[in-house]
Amino acid sequence: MTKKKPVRLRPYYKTRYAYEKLRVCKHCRSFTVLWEDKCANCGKQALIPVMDQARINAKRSMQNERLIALLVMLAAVLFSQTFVQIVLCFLGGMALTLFLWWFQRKMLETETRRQLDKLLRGSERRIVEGIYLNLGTASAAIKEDEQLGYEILREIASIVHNDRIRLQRIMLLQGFVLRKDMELELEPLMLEDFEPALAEYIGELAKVKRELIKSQAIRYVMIYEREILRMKDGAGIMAGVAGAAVRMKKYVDMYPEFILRYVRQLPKERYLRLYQLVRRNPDQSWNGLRDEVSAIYNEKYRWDPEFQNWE
Amino acid sequence: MIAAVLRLVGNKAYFLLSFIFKPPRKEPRIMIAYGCLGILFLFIIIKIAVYFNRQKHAPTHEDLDETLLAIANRRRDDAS
Repeated sequence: MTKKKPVRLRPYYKTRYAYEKLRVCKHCRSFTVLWEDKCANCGKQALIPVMDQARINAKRSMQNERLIALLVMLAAVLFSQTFVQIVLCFLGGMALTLFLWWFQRKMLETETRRQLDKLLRGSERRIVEGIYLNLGTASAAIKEDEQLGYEILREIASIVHNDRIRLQRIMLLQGFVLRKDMELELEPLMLEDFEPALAEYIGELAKVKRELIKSQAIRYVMIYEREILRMKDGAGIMAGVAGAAVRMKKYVDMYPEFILRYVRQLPKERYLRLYQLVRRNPDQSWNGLRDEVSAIYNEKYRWDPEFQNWE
Repeated sequence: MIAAVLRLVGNKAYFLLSFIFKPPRKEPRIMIAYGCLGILFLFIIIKIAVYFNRQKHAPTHEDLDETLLAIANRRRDDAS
């Protein structure tokens, strides 16, 4: 069995929108999703978020419009004959230009989004090339430093959603010692098909960070229950997920039969949680789960002080 | 002084333009000046109308996200 490495992962900054992760080089216009200081393509320290580039483009376009307005105003002034006419043309032109400027300021946010859309659609090829470059960096990093490789893949996964990258991340995570204080995730790593590494990862998470086990993970282990039970410690994985599920009444309501199958394998602490839930909801039977919980209580925990003083 | 300089430059410009446009004799230059102001006014009205139209059809942040994800994952899907 490969020895697992203790690691301290770099903090992951989750953004509200995926495009906030994307940066563009002002010099060579190549794209990247990584946190590097220098552009991997040209080596210059000219990487800025794509939204900033879009804002620059929007402001430049608006500036050109104001310049055109000023030029036309200047022409009007040049063709004026008297001083009064010059002043009138100048003031009129300036008023119109200032009005344009004020209106452009109000429209800047909308124009920036429009420019970003234009930038993304017009740079499709460059974006894909940037992603390929980042994937190459990840592959090279994985050979030397698995932690760095995982961190790079994690960043790429913010915009590239496919099972290949998910599986690579899961395989790398299996090589790390998982701790409660680590920034772990499960939902973005869920695969369509059965994968033993994912089942193992879910089993590990059920021990260290059970709050990550939600409906999607529970349904996954239920769908592939037979395959998981054939794995080494498959029953332990299933019991772990059942133990994680009992933390919320919602999951007990949704999956009582699943929990019933593994209730006898629950550790004391998880069984106590389930027992408390059952006691607090006397009018629910959960398709026989209540009876089984009562049977286990009478067999094992009738005289346990923890079960007497739980309220 | 400034008015004199502007008048001088304007005269030169008028002289050059007269070869091309041959404006009518009566008050020609002031008509060009007002014409320029009119053009400026129209330009700004059109620009404002264009901005209003763009605002109606401007992409939201979610649309931008979808565009980027479609680009990033389309080729990956093609490749697989």
